Amino acid sequence: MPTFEEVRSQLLRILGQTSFGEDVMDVRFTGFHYARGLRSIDEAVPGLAELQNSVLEVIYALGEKLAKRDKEMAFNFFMTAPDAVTHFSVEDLEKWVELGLELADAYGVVPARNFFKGITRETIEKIHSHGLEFQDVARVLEIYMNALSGDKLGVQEAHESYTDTRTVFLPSKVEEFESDELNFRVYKVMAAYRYAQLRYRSLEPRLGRMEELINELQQRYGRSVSSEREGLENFIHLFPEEQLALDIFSVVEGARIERNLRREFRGIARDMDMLLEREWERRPEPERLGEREGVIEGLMQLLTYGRTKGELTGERAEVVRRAHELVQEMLQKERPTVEDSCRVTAEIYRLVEERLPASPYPGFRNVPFRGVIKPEQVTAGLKKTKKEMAQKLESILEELDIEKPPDIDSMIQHAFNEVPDPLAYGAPLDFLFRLGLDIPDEVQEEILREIEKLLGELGEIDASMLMKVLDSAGRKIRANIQARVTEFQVELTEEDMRDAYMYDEWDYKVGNYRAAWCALKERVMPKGSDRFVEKTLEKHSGLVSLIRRQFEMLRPDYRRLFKQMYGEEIDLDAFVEAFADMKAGATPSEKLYIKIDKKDRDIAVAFLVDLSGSTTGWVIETEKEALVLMCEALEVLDDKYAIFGFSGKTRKQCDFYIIKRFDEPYDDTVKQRIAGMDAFDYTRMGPPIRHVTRILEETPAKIKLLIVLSDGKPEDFDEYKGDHGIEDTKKALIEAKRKQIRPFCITIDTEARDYIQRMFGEIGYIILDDVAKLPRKLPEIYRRLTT
Amino acid sequence: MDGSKTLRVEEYVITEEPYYEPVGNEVEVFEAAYRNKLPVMLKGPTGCGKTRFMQYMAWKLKRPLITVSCHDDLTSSDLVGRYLVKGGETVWVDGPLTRAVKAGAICYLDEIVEARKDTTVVIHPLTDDRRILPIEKRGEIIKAPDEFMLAISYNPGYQSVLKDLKHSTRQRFISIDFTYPPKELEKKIVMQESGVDGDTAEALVTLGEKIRNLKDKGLEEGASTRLLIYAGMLINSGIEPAKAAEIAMANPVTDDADMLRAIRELITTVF
Ligand SMILES: Nc1ncnc2c1ncn2[C@@H]1O[C@H](COP(=O)(O)OP(=O)(O)O)[C@@H](O)[C@H]1O
Ligand SMILES: [Mg+2]
Repeated sequence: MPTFEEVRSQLLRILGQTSFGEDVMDVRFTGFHYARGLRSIDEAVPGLAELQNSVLEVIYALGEKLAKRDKEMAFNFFMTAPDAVTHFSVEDLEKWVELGLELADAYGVVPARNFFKGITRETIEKIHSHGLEFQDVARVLEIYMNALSGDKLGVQEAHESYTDTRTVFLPSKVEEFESDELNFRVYKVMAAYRYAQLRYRSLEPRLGRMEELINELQQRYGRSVSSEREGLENFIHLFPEEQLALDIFSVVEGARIERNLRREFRGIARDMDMLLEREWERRPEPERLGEREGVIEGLMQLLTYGRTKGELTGERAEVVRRAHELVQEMLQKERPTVEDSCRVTAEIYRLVEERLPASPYPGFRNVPFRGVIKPEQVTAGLKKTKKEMAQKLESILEELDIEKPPDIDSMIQHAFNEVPDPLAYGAPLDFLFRLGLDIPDEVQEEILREIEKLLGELGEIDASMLMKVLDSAGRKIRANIQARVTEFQVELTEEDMRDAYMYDEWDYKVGNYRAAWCALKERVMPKGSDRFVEKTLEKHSGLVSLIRRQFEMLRPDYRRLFKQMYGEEIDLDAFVEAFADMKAGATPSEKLYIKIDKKDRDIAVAFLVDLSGSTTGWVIETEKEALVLMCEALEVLDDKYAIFGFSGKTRKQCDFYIIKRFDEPYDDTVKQRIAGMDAFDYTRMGPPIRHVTRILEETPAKIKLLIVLSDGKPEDFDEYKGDHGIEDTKKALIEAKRKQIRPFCITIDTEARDYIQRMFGEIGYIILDDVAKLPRKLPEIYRRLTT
Repeated sequence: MDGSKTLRVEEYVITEEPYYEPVGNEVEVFEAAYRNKLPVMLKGPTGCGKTRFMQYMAWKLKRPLITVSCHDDLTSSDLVGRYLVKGGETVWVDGPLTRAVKAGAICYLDEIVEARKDTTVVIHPLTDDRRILPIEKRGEIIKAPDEFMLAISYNPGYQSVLKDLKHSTRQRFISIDFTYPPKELEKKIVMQESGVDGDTAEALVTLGEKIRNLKDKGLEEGASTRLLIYAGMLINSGIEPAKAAEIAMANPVTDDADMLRAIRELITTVF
């Protein structure tokens, strides 16, 4: 063991001074312990002198590292180190120091000094964790991405970070920093970068806007464009060395969009700087790389850092200088576009090719947060979007009864590829006209208006936006159009009506009910696996306890009801008022009491679940999970509840499934029935709503609630479609409302808005764009509805 | 009750032009409604300018404005009036609604759904062409002068089933829709109202826009113009922008931990 003097002289050597003070700020913020004013290095010695020499060596080395940054930080480190070794291995000690240095980089030395004053539980946890997993922050990232883009972009984990224009892929794990907070910033910058690629149309260059260049390239390299590929992939494919072209493009285009991104978001600019600064250490010296690789690296460094690591010489230096000039020129333009980047890419490519001939190109690794560009994935993504667009168009046309071109799919593809610039500034509708569609004026106007709005906002639009436009235009139009109901009805037989409840159906065209039109039969839901509920509870265990806690808070308090006819106390306010009335000769009120009410929550709720065929699989399974959570929550309260399901085929067969009656307890039988819920046939919503209404009418409760869970619009095999189905459902809901039942609808359907507004607009509804949210949302909605 | 000072109606006259930026044709519509003696319902999320609009219209039409913020203990006596006992004497004291009717003022019932249903009923006779206010206790009926106008506000965002505007009430009003102002206008409003510079206002509006993107994707209501202004005010009095935005724009809109985290990340993205 070392002597006091040995340790002291080491500390003095490293720290260069004997005492350290706290400034006033520190005194205020850190409390009393270390705030006694000056401290001497002698205080640090005894603890350290207890340690093994081998450990001390490590501590000195680490302290030296810290002292280079800030002496006081190092001093605090020495003070705490003896305690630290009781918690950490030697390796962990290094991590601990690394964490503190990160803190200093990100937030400055003051918090870093404080960090070394002691070891908190949080610090210990951080040190024992290894990197941030995507799964732990997936939801936050998705919300973040949705907010940024205003769109529904998926977020998924992958090997690398890239986007196919529909989904943003992020690495499964980030372990760049010791601290997860900083690791999260890496995710965030990556996500923002992907957003910038989409926002500034990085991945969708239009060949039509650079025809000359494309022709020239085709001639020079003898390669050609194909409709199998989208713009970016086509462009890159024109070069014999595709990887080289792609890397040049990503560096050039990166400079363009990064500048925009920095202007748009100051915070991201700051985070990027932090990451870039760190990255600098790791960048290779361009001069030491192969020729071509060195040039790309050099250009990247120059564009990113304004300097290169080490001197560049000879041809290399020339090429980098010229390339840098080209990019700078482009950035001088008022609004450089991705097509400008393409042009510059082609020039730089040529430069490299001519000045550095015949040197191999092994590839180049960009700064990690910039991710990679995958032209073939972009093609696939865009193709998918276009396909959906075609389907949308098709269904709009179908509803409008417009003559449909035989192969709208390939027509759209064709229009996109061949028509120069269909979506550019001037005539956005060109594209649609070229399709040769005879689109009614109202649709055109609707689409135009939407497009103009987007053009006004962004200056240009891309495929996914056009899709949105078509979508909302189509929906609006559809909502206004009288659906042509196929006059297809079925007859009821004696058999159908036996043991059935008969319900009227509303015929909006006649403006009257069709009497006893539908035959509804109650069935008990067959039992399913008895493990389902258990598994669900396991899967959502965190959520379950959260929801339970929330519901516990709903438990009724005693409440004082004023101005009652009878009650435990006299209502003085009411009494004074009555007294005054009496004196004034007016008739006084007799409601003079305060009643203490303990059963304020006298609620009965029926859940009615759509079991139509369209819910097969994922939707129904999630609905079931949501119901389990709902039951767990409701068990906390005294609210009466029941669960029913419905499906069926035509008016002959409206099936009404009992899962839990009001008077049944939530027991194994009910649990197995929930497990047994399955998707069946069609969605005739009117009869089951009327039937639940009847059941609720017979259930005594002050507040009666009907919550309908569905995944789309009412639709049956016969004429129960379009307006007829919507109007009948609406009528059934209004009937319920008249009977003092409050209907509320939860719909899992992103395209539902127009008819949903029509059916439930008067009533109350919520649309979930993602069924996965249901287990979380259902109890939350219930809670809000009843508070 | 009787301890509070009763303002005379004239004191509700707004003499200085309130700052209001029209978003659409709401000013014209309101004026037309006023000329035709139609009651008006202002529909829209909270904090998007309804109250300010009422102040502006009252100033423009040169009428006193009486505003009642509704709550669930509000009784019809609170609106119409009651007898009070003072030193053995009884005195009748008009409620705000009665005072507004008598003075030909504009009466604005803010957040009408919060009021109890039996309270809401007293306004019905004022909303049809009779335009009368029965005061049952005094056996009187007051006819509203032409200048009198009734306006209510209503936030249609989905709410508790225990509170909803009755149809019979709703259908008595013409409705004007309010939403958040478009970007440029909102920026101007934020600058004007909070005193922050253009860049900060722009950042706040951008942030607001991004948060509103989450409506229907998990948020019930986005950050209102009011919240943007609050954030601006905090910044103006020296609070660090990111902190101000968190206090004024993140915490008030959600309790969902992931959602909050994501909004905080948006804040540090923008600032
Ligand atoms: N169009 C507008 N012109 C001027 N100020 C506005 C406008 N819209 C909103 N504001 C500002 O927003 C704040 C909140 O609006 P307010 O009228 O109180 O909302 P609401 O009554 O709809 O809840 C106002 O105090 C005002 O500062
Ligand atoms: Mg208000």
